[in-house]
Amino acid sequence: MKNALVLAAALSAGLTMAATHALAADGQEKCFGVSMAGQNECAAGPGTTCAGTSKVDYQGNSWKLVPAGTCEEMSFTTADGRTVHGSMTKIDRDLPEM
Amino acid sequence: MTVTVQARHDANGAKNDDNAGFHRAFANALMDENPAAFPAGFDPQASRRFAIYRNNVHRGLQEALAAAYPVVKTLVGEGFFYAIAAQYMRAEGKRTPSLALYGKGFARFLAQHEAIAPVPYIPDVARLERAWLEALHEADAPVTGATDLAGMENRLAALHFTAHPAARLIVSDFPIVSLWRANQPGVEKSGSVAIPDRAETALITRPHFKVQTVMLDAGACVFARALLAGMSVGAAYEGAVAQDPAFDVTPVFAQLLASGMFCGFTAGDE
Repeated sequence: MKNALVLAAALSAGLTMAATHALAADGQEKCFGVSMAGQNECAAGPGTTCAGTSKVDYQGNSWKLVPAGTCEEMSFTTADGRTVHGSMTKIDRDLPEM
Repeated sequence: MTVTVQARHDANGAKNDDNAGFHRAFANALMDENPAAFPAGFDPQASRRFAIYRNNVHRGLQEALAAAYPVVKTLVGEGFFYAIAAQYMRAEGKRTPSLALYGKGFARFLAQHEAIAPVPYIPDVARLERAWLEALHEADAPVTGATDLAGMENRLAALHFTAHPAARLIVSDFPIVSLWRANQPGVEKSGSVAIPDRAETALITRPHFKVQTVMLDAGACVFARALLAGMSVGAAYEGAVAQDPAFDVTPVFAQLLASGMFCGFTAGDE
């Protein structure tokens, strides 16, 4: 390629530009077991939403977006006095009764 | 629902050796153009109740379509939209019990509908809305962004990217992104909005679980399409320059990297 160096420089500049942008856009993570009943989020769409469907506080299979790096540090005291933490993956505690 | 219907059917004493046949008759009567259609072998006294059930099914399908294509609905008007939705309902064949992805063939149906011919941009707006809905429900994969390319600065032209499952590119001869944006909820409806007369491409991605729509011009569209197809960055650039000699790769490369359209890369030789 004739202008290989020019292209390399142009792409590298683009990478720098994108990295700066990414710092602002990143910074949230999916956190299970931290949302109050009915306050969970969901990637569902028009007419099909599962957002806001969690039944119990701190439900282990419901998630919220939280600032990156904070999920597993979160701890809450449940109504019955237990201390629970957030999790980056689904967990088995505090599931609604079927 | 099926169980209830079946039980009532049996209670009425009708012979019912052929469940599949009855279900087919029931389904056919549900979608019959004749509003008095009624499944054979069904208690005639249930005709009013059947009509209520059919109305609920029709209404549910039409509302699902309206929820999936809100901008098309706004552009053509509610009355027109529901009239077309009633026709489409009979055209979309095989369905799953879930309505989440109902309406897959709607854009094509619109493109072939003579009433839509005077507004030829409508099917492309429908394609954009469909891509948005599909992106929402697509499988998840970790996004590859600028920070994942640290150390690759000198080999960027030789990279091949992997398309993220939720990435969609909708190419149109019409200003579909401008039309779509002007009709989003929350957009101020003060007077008329100027829609530029130009071709626009929509890049749909789903970074951080939120669907995002990016507008691309002709050069960027060729570049993005080549990258999604797995071509090297260098080859994609050549294609974009051939399309648009003034193509400026720096901001477009930055925009695409930040969009979340990739979920991996390989450093090929070039």
